[in-house]
Amino acid sequence: MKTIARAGWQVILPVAVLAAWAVWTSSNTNMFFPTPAKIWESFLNAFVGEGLTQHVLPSLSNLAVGYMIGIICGIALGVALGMSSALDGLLQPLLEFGRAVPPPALLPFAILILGVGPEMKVGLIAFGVLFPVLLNTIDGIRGIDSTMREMTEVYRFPPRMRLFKVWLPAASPQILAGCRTSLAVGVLLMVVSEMVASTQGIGFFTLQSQRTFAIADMWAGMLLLAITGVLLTALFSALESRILHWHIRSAE
Amino acid sequence: MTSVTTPPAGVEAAGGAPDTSSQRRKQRRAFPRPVLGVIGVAGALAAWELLSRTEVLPSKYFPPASDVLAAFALQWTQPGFLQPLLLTLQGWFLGLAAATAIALVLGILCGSSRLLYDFFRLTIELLRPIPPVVLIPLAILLFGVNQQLKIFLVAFGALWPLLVQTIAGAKALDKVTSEMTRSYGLKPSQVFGIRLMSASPYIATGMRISATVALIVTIVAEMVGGAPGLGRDILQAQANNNQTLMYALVLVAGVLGVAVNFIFQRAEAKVLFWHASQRSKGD
Repeated sequence: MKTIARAGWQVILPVAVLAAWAVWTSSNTNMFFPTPAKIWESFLNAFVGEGLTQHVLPSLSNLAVGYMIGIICGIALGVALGMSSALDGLLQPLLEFGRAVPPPALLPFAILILGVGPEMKVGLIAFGVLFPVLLNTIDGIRGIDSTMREMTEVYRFPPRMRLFKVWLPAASPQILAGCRTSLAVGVLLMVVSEMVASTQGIGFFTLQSQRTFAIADMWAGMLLLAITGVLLTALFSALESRILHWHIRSAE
Repeated sequence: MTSVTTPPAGVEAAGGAPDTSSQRRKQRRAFPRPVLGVIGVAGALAAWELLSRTEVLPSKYFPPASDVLAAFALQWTQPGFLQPLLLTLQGWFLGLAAATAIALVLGILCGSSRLLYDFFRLTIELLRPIPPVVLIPLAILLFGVNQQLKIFLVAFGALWPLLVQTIAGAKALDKVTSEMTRSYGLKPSQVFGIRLMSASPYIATGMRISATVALIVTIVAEMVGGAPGLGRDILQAQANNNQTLMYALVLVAGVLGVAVNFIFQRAEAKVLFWHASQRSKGD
């Protein structure tokens, strides 16, 4: 009984807001806030069926590809820089600067170099995703216990084993923290690139709906983007827990 | 070491800088680190200049470094540049301030009361992953394309990292401290103050993250929303085929980012001089 009450208490606020919304909009004709029913209808119309292939899949695939490229490059470069103190020292100010630049500021640069197609989006996302992962990987590698390093030398681990069985697992908490930040950056860049320079994608659809005053469609787009953000974050957390199940950390 | 370790699922945070244990390896370096860094930057700039002048990188897309730096220096005398820059800074600051006010109050309250925490938790977890850029279409309808739009978006974006950190900090309140406030019969406002100060290491980290997020959202609001400011200028420069200006403005954005990061790290060090994490840095 107590757990049910507690669960109910936790859910009450979002549910109440949704209910209040439904009630308020059904009797009110404010054009900017359609009823939940209308939003849902627009949602189904726009994104289930042809909208799926026209907007949703391109957006998500750009994100996925950009994210993967960014992570792989970030980890690869990060390991290289983490291992070589000299190289890291040389490049550190440049990397810090690169990280400090707000990623959206690079959008016009991406448009300049890569045009306005999917390549630009993937490139921009990859670039934005690269930096947090890169810097965190460097930190993670540099933070590896020297005893562990010496052990791999004593036991004469082959390089491949050293990399995949020792360095990467040891640095993985840091790396994954970087990947988490990168995910947020990636989603942001996906939406921004679609809103500014695109003719397809969820972001484009949403902004276009606002411009043409298709308000219910706009809300549907916003809803889908919000859901995407929530789902991806949850997915990432689940993966992270699995990968880092061995890691001691403070539990909720 | 400045690394971005954001806490997962809203709990872990802050604390100390990890000690790299390779102290035994006192290698004799050819160059000390700062010198190495300067060489790196100088080398990169030289390479850029060379590649651009020789058209290995087409100068249409990659104007020479010297041109960009000259344009960069020039901007600071142009009112057409300073005005939007000021708007950017203003939007960043006011949005961040609003987010801080809300986050600190709500954060401490939620962190100290199980009831409130349970009440708000789901809402926070649902709203937190929403990128502020998603709200731009709605916000344009509600506010128009102006500073209020920017401030609203920045506040929304900057709220969550700080809120999550503050809650974590309040939850980590030392039991002895909590009991002490009760045994001294302190007023609620005093208890609130003590919780706030006790959570300050977490809050400091949160502020640093939120400040960075706030800058990003400001630029996004300007670029996508069209509110006047640096972001919009960068986009316009590119649209007007003024690549040199575009690069110079991106450089400005980078400088802003570095400045924000630097300011907050120094502030953190000053305010938290008493904390264990800062002690080791003094060595």
